[in-house]
Amino acid sequence: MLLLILVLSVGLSAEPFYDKGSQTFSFTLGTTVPTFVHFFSTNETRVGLGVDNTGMKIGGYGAISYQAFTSPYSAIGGEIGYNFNYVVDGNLYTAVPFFFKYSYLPVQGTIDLPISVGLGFVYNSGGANTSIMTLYSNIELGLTYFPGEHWGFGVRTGLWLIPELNYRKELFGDNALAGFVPITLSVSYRQ
Amino acid sequence: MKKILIIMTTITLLFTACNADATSGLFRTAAEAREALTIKYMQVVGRKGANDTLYFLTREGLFVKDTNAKAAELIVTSKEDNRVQSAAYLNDKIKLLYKTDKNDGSLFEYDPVTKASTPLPIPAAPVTDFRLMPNGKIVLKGAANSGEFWIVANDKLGSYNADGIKVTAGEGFDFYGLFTPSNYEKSDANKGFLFSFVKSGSPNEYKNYYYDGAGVNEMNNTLGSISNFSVIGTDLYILTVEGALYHLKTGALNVAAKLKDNTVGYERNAFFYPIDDGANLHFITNPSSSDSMSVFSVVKGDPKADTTTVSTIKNGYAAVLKDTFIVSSLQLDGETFLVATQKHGMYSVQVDKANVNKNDGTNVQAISKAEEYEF
Repeated sequence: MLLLILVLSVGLSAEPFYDKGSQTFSFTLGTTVPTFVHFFSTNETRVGLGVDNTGMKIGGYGAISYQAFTSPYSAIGGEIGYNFNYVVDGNLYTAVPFFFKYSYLPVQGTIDLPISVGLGFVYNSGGANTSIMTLYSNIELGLTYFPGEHWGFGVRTGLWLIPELNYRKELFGDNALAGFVPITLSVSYRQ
Repeated sequence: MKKILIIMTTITLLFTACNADATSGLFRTAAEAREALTIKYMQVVGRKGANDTLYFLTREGLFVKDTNAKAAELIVTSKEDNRVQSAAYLNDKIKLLYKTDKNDGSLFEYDPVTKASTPLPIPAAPVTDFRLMPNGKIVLKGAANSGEFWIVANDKLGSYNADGIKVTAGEGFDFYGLFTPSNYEKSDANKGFLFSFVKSGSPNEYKNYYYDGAGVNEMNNTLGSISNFSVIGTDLYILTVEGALYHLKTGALNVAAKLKDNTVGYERNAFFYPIDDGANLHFITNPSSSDSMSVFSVVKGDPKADTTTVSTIKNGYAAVLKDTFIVSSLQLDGETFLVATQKHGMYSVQVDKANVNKNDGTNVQAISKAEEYEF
């Protein structure tokens, strides 16, 4: 904790590190925790892993992202990733999110603390011919440590929100909102 | 910007179209999923009588369960190079037959009284292979590529040439499938089965035959790949792996009338359970790669394409059975049956005859929990 306060104070005391036009590339790898599913038609919310809840297990996520700074504290860009979670019956749920990403970095320098929101689409696929493209949104908090000028290592977490809005009438009763919590490690390159 | 939006919308619509075959939402399917059980059923072999002994086959081997017993007893263990592949309970002899993969195919008779297994010799060349049917009949295969087969009683194996029924499918034809109706009940009552042979080509060529318990009848050969069949009185109903339902009349089995095309496919030997509600015949089916069940409904006595319907069912009994991967079934009475599955154990099901094609809870009177079946 002391180390964290120390590095934060270093970051906070520094002048803005980034300029308009600075760029970051990140590679992300980690897990996702299926957190809840809410079914609109029955107003039923299932919370947690496994049987009688979301039905899914802890999975994995990998992604690449790119952002460019529009001001010393704000960056925009995009991310594309691949997520998988096994369902308790052995089927595999996969998601390929691709989204626009906005980040605000109130702390930057040796330590970056990006607060990000994402909005885009996700291609979801499950067993038995079930696949659907839906909207995707997320909010993430990160902490990246840059021991040098360019390369940094960090952790991120947040919340994904994936609405399943079926377009066929017979599936309207299954319209839902699913939430996942990602916990990932990242490697970033900035210039 | 406008161009980007058009491209994104097009991509979205393209991918969204992929769930056109789904009958449940993606997250609903996951939330209602259940863990697969370790017991992997292969066949409900038969029962001695109502509320009496039940025999079934799993990947572990052959089991017996008495009505009052808490647990089933393993009577024949599957071992490497001697795995039980199929079995038959002979209701008239009160004995079991089972086929294993020992020496590429061995047949045994099991006596439940002495608990002893006795090998039954399979005829030598030109016989090269055989199949054991649930009713105890043996189908022998002749020399490779000869296209010759025999149906013979299990106690007439030694004299199959004289006592068996020879079927000559033709050079190059081999086993495609042997089909027993899903409402099979017992060996001395359900003597019929359907067998289909295939000759590889482009396209494959099929020859289909119906054994009615006494003789072999040639059938329509343009049905393609058969999934399963059902016998209702003097009529045969055939489901193909492409999901088509055909009606054939005994006596004119070369004529097949297509009643309905389902948009989903089926495995070979798929669940195809007939229910007669008096006015209509309903066939409960479990399509492959689907998150629901389908019920074909045909006007009894007057099956026609324009009056045949297919209903997608995911509630009632289908809520329990739809994703279980049904491998075998056994009729207990007109509306009650056992369903053995590969993923979720065995169930006893009592459907509601009049509502069996309804997509709600009225389609079932009672359904057991997994492995809490009654027989």
